Amino acid sequence: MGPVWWVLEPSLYVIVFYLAFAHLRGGGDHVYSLLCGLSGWHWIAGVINQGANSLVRKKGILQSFSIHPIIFPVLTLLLQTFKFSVVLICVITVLWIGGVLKPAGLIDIVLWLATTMFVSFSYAVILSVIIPFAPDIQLIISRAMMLLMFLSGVIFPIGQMSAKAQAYLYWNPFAHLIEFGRKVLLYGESLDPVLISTMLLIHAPILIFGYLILGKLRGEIPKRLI
Amino acid sequence: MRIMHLENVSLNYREGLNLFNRRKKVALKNLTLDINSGENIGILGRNGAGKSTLLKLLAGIFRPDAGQIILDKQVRVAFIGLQSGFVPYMSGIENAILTGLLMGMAKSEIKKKLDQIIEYAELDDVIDRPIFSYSAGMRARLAFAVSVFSDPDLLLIDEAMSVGDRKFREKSKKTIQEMIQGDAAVVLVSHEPALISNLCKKAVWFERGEVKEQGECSMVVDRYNASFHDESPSKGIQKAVAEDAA
Repeated sequence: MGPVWWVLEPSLYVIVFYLAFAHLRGGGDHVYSLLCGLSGWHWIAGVINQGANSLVRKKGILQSFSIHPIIFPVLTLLLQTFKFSVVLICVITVLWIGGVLKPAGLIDIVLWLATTMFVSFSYAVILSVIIPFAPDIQLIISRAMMLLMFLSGVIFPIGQMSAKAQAYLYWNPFAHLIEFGRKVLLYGESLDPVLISTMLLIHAPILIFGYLILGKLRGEIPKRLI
Repeated sequence: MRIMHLENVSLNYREGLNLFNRRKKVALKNLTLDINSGENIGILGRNGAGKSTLLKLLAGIFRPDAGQIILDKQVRVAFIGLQSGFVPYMSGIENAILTGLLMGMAKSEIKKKLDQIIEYAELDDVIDRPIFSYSAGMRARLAFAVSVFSDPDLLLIDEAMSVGDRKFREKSKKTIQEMIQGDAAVVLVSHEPALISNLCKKAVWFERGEVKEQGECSMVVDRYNASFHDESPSKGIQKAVAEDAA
């Protein structure tokens, strides 16, 4: 199926969730919000899940060549982002046909994409260090990502929830990333530079730490991969 | 000229996957070894003796848990294992390029040598097919060809020659001889003592991660072969039972 599947998979996601949720809530513009949320989440989850497991999946290469393991999460990030770019074009087309496309400025769109890549990648790298030493974590990550999807406002925007729920749920960085996507595609709003800087500052040490540990354990990780 | 020196090197694998299980299996114990340019070393030993682990250690894939590895100069190492590190769904030509890059070749260097690599591996007809459709011998030929054309200072071969046909063996033997004359070092792991005696001047015999014997090839191979005759089947069973009891 190749590239067709990259578009078909998130589209099927959207259709299933739309039928399950949007119609129950009376339809309307909710489907477009759902479309933005799900496509963004699909990208984030792909980077984290696939990136975290990338060392295990490519153990044949890691056990045959002396290379820095960071290369595998990086390749996963690039591949998933390329797939998302195909999906994003489809989403923008659907929003435009539906007459709801209201894009923010180019800088905000770039900031949204860059922040999402940075945050997701930082988790992918740190988890990729842990998994060779505790392979069972793979199962926990896939279940945790499913749980996080419901806590990130993918299906119902957090902005429409109670103030108390928002106060809790906005501690989750993915909730902001999903919200950013809606702001730059549906509402034409600018992103908060303070919030973006905070997210980058929080995740930069995670990424740097993960990178350094991967380098330090370079000769140890291939021994642990089974 | 010495290119690599291993000083009291030990390496352990962790036993099991349980995070709280701290038990370790000793794969290499207090190994001291010199590798000189123009030298061809054969590694002998039974299953689980630590032969493949040694090659991965020399290739820089594994890091020792104790001891040190001293490199006397910047060394380009090529490692050929039975798994060969190929990506199954990629074609032979794509895997050749990827392998070359991972072995430290520049893309321009690979492109320049690609036709020679394909010709050497004798895979002209199938080079565009995915690697999963290749036989073990075909994969070994491709891995060997890329490794040789990467001009390594140290070539490490883990059983890869055993899966090749007679023609490939003769060709690879000739290439190895040429490489040694050109100052490269070759370390060859094989279960076949005959292959080691045929190709190597020096041999190391491993037993449970420790060097049992090392030195002139024919002497080490003879003693290794004799070890099978020394141990009669009944003695072997008695020894295994005693070890289990211990």
